[in-house]
Amino acid sequence: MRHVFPCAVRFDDLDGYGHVNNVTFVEYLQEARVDWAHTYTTDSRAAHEAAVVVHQEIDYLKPVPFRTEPLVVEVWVTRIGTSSYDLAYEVKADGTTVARAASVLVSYDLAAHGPRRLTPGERVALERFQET
Amino acid sequence: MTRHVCQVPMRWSDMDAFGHVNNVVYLRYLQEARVDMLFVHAPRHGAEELAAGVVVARHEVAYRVPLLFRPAPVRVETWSSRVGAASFTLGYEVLDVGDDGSRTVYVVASSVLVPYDLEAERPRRVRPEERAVLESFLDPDGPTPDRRAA
Repeated sequence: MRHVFPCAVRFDDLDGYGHVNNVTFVEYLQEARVDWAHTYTTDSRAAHEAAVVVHQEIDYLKPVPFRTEPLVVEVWVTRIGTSSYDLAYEVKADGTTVARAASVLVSYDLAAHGPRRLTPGERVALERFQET
Repeated sequence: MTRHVCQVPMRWSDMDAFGHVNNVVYLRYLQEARVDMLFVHAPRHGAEELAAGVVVARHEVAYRVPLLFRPAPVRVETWSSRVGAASFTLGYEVLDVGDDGSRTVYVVASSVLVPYDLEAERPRRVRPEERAVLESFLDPDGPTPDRRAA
């Protein structure tokens, strides 16, 4: 299953070339990931249940000019480790994929300043969105 | 090996709820350094058309050490790791250099860039004068943002 996040384009997301700036796409990924985490994982705002991004890659396939209809960001899980997991994303405009991306997330204890093991609750939420 | 060096100012709002610089913001630092290299430095050395259109085809970023806000800018070093016929790849390190010369590297990254004719809406070839500027920063063996085993 994929989490489907409608992502509004703001006017100032565009750069001097008149299309959505490359950095902004990575913000869109983050919005989709945070929405997914807050909706499905147990308590992603608690210090002991945080996760940090340690690696990220994105391929830009098509430029996106300003639009009033939201983009769609699909996010799903491609790997579940003991203290980390991988997410994949597709950003779509009217059904056309405009960017593909992947992130490695490490479960992190903000209070202890270190990585931690995934909780059973997190694992259940991750497995629900796993595609291999 | 010559690297392009850019001191990028930080903003308080670069930090997120976790109290460190947000992952997205590093791409903004990379962009500041890239724009300085391609749109400010390159035109002074004869490559004036890059500013008219270069698009990003791909980024890869490895986050190594968290960075916190401070009033001093952060250093971004940029080099060319590959110069092709119609695209090139830049490598970057976001880092601090201590008084003793020690290097704290927060991020290692790479970007594939494509010179682009915005009016015709199609990619174009790398011009000779652009190749000369890019190759002045060439280092095919620099650090890469490889995934580490998790």
